[in-house]
Amino acid sequence: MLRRRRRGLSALFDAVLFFTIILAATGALFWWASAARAGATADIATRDLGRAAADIQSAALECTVGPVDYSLGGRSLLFTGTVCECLALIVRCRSAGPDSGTAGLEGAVRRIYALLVEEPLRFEVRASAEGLVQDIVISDEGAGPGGPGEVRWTCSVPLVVNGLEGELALHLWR
Amino acid sequence: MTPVVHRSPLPAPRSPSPTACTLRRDNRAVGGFFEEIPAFVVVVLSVSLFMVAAGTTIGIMGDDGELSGLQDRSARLCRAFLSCEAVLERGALSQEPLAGRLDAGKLDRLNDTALRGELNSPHPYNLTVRDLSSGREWTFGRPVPDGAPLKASAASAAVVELDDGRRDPARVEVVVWR
Repeated sequence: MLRRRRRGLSALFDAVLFFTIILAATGALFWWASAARAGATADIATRDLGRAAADIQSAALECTVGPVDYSLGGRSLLFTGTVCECLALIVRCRSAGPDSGTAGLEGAVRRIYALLVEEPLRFEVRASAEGLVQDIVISDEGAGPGGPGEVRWTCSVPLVVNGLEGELALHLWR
Repeated sequence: MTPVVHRSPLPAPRSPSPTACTLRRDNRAVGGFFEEIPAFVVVVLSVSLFMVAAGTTIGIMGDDGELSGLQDRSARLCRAFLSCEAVLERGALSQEPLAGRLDAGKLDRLNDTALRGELNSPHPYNLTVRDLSSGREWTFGRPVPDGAPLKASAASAAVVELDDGRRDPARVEVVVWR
């Protein structure tokens, strides 16, 4: 009787051990599947963000803005042209001196980028040129400065102002 | 097999034959089938659990792969539209079609049949061009069904040149389903 009971208990013990191993294997399978899925999703998101940055940059620079008021050397003027020309004009105005008003031009550029950049992405346009003391930064309204590690993708294009070389960079982040 | 135990002493066999079975009452019986049932149930449960988990995982991974393929197709369709000569503005000097610059007049004149021939998509699609400044829209393809089991979309920034020469920011959105 005792031997019979021992044999039954031994078989049950083996079965419970088997169940534990199966449970661990199932957990490992789910962990692997979720890790593979997360990796694939992150890859697609990064790839899409790269494409989006290039598309937005090329489209935005072609768009027309204006007529917009600005002042250069104390004179009030009107501008109508592409975003690329508008950014070049902002650089020229800033280089000319402190009595130039470019708020309207910057607002027009911001509006175009804000239309093209979809939520939840945030943007920052940074123009730099030779002879310009401080970079021109036009960022999303309500977006704080992108800290290190926050910027996920950058698309830079050359910017030539009065024969001087510069760079126009678009930063996108979530 | 259930052991058969007779409580009353059996009469001694007269002549033992090779097929006869001798039954005795003692503690040396071998455990039978019923003792193994709990263990058997646990094993069956374990195997079933693993099979269900593996099936679910394979199903999810398969759906993901299919969705990723559909996503790629929608992105390719979007790219194909943005380089489709039938809707593009031409360069002032070169007269070459400019990728990503859509002509509003050509979009007005474009019909579904012509676009289907240009894009040659094996899947049903819905393509929308939206002028982000004025809110004007051009829609091509079929309406998106509510109950499509697999649906993927792709979008891209573009420019629409209006009749007065002004260029507005635009977005091209493509939805593909199966």
